[in-house]
Amino acid sequence: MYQINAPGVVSDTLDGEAIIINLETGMYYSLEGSAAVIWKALCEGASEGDIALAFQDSFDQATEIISTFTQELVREQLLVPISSDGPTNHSWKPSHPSLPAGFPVINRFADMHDLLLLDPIHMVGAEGWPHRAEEPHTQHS
Amino acid sequence: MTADTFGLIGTRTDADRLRNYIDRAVELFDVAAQQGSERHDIRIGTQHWRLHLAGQQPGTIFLPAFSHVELPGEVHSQPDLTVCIWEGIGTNCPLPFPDWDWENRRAHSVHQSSSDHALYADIHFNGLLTLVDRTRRLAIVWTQDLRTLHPYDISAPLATLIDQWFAPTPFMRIHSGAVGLNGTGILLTGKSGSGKSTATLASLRYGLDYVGDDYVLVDTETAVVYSLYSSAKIALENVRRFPELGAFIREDTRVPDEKAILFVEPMMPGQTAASLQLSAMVVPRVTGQTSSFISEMTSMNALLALAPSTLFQSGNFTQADFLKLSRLVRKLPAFQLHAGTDLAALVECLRQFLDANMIAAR
Repeated sequence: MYQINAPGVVSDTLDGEAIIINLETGMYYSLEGSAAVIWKALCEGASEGDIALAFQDSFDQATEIISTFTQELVREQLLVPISSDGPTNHSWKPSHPSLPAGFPVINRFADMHDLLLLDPIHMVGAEGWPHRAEEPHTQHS
Repeated sequence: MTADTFGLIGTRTDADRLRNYIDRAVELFDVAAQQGSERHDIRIGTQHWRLHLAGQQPGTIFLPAFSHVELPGEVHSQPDLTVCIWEGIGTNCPLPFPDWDWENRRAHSVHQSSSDHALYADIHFNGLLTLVDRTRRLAIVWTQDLRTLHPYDISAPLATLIDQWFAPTPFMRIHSGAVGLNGTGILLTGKSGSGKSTATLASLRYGLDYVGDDYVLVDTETAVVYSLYSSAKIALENVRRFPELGAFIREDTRVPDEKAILFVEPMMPGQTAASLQLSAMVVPRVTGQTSSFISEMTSMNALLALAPSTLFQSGNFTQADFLKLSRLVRKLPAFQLHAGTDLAALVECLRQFLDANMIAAR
């Protein structure tokens, strides 16, 4: 089982599509159709097995497809594994009886990534603050 | 039973350190203010903020963008927030380096807060320190040297403070322009290069009400947008399209590869609307064609245009902030503005759209 990699990852679902933002990496994502349904299920504590069962009529190799998609979400640091001893949402069922067709795909956006390359405490000029080693004002400490 | 039972270990220490540091900062501000200070009462959204600036220099950075929301005359009512602002070098009243470990490193800044979020500290990468004591309705904004600040501290001052102060409320500073007509407005949302600034400046030229071109404050429950800053930003290569604005560009913001800054209020007094009821969200897209038109777009695409740029530029956002944005998107129909090169026609397109959508947000 997995959970969303909070607090660094935020997500919401709108009109059946999910948007996920990873503030640690600067990447953001949109998921549509089956991808959004699987994402929501994983965030609600459903196991890959339960999800694969729900999609068995949609995909020939549902178990492999769900597993591959889930591992991709883990690699993107959007999901983290949780102990199998933890609470399991065995009651998870898709909210709509007819699941969206099509393989789950992650749409990635990297245009905000550069914003995170700024270093908060080392981009100030020598005359600026903070500079612990060159503190001109330690008399106030 | 130990203190840890109550979850006090660690959190009390952090809170005490933050509180003591803010107390020390207030003492130093009082010393700095003895060299001369000025007080300005401004309207931020529905709140009254009092800016108390020590020394001569901070006013040139922090005040121009708020000139349109300055409350006239002597204001005697208690402010919702008092903000003490000064510079270390100019007043010879520097702050000591904080003695706590910074956590939650995010884009642009590092920050720390007490467990109850009543106390907050943030250092932006440009050296601007922001301290908030929510209980005392007090904030400190300090930098050792104003010269380390970025032009966006002039166009969008006190951004960190505004984000932090409004975090527990439905209000949110969002990365969008806003224009309108007869009390109804639209959000112009998009990343850099989408044509947002051009559409906003064109709206200003051709007589629409102006709320902001880059950042505005929005009540995400009521979908009312408030003007935060009277500033506008323009790429220097774009000045040829707006030659009338060239004379109003602030000279010290003509920085290579950055947008220059100008202030709308002195240029076009009275054209800034304090607030508008939003009726739609419009995402511009530059087409290269002459004419402009507007088409529907999905809420998800509107949220993709709004949320990442707002949240990453904030530097310190949470799931709650994200949900505020998605709540706002749910309230507003979303449209794509296919922005053409004929600016008069583009604004006429927006004017007709506003006329047709002059209804309260659904």
